[in-house]
Amino acid sequence: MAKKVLEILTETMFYVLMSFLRQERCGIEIAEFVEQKTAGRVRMGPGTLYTILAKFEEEGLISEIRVEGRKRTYRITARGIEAYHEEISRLRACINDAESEGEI
Amino acid sequence: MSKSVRRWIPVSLYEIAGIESWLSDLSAQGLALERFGLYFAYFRRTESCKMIYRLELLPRPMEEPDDEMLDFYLHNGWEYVTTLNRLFWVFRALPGTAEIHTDAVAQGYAYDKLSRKLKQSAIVVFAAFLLIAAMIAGIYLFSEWPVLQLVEDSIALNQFLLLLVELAAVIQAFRIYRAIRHLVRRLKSGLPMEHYGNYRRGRNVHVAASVMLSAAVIASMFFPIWGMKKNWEMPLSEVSSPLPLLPLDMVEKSPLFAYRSSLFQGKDHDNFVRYEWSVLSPVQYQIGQRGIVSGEEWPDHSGEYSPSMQIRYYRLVSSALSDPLIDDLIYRYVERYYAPDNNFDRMKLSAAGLDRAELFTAAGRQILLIHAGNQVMMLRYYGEKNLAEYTDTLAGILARWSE
Repeated sequence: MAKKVLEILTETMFYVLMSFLRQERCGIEIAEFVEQKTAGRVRMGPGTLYTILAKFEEEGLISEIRVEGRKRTYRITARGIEAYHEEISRLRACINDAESEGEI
Repeated sequence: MSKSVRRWIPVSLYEIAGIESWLSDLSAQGLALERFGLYFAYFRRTESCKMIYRLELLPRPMEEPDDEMLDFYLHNGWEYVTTLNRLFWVFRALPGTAEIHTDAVAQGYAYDKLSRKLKQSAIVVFAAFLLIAAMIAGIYLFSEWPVLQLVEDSIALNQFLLLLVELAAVIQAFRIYRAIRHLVRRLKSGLPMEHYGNYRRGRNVHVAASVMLSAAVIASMFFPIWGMKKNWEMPLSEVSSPLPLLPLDMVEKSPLFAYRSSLFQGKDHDNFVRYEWSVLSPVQYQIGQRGIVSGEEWPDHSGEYSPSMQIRYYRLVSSALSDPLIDDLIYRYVERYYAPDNNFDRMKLSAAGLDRAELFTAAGRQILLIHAGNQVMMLRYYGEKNLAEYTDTLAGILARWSE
């Protein structure tokens, strides 16, 4: 069984991982993606962004692919995609559990 | 208005909230942080402008944030100031700026890594302490004459200081580890980091501990060198200053007695004075004397009569050490050294001014040990005269030396 990389993906971490699905991104692009995707609901401070990127890179969920001028660009790895799908499954299960309880 | 000023860092660098509060309070007094040193932080005088400061754990090993990071922090209102101890970046912003961290759990992952490192280093420091303590204890516990060794050892204090420094390092390492582990638990439970810390409460203790530790480290380096520099050795005939000396010619009383030198590599190994310093005995002398009495032979006709005397004198820092030192000297120079012969007669002597006097006599040799207050003297004599006759003289010598 593969090592469990992170105990839990927080909402911010989940969106950061999501931001890489379609393209490689640098830090500022990730922050913009999250802001747009959540319509400003999820705000990501700079410390949080770079802490998550460092943690994801350390755990092998993303990898740095190039440094150009002031930009450091990353892309998701197979392990990152796997972690992303695991989180989607978990969230779906949560939603299904909630829906099976019906409306109040 | 641009003069740099320094302030003593009032708390450990790992008391993050305390450092942040302190920097913020100083900014309100018109001191803007420039950089951190080992004990001091350096500030630039500015207009009084309250700022908020944040210590940001380095996300990866790098001295400064890269350009993209700097842009993004600045875009969010945070200005990079300096790097602290290759562990934290220091940022500042105007009050009301949105926080650097918006996800406590994610921040907890970063501190989790630091916590594991701190745990490892605390264990290593503790193991080193145990090793050093065992080595130092071993030197004295397994010594056959521990008090004598401590008294003569010029690095005994050095070892003690080293142990103290190491103990302080162990306590500090575990304190830091405990504080960061507590922080990790808080963050992982979703609670954001505290940014207010009362740095005034432990300020004096922290500053005093830092000063004392530094002094201990410097002293532990300085004492052995100082001790060695104080030591000297000279031929007895060249020493003009008073010595704790019972002259051999006074004991022999013969007009035919003459001191005899034995020169080897320019040093007189028979008639010499050696001065040594140690913490427990700041004044120590070893004095050697040897001579011949022309025309006289040893009673067993083994050759020309050539008496000698070695004196050891100790002025101790405490008279409580005198008796244990004499016991060790007896063991070292009588019981242990002459154990195979085991033929010494032991005699307790008394003289005004002496707290203890014991004479060990065997054929052709005597060992006299005396102490008065914090002074201890041992005379090892090879000759045919009786040292017991000189206890009053020796009491007088010690009385003069105690003044």
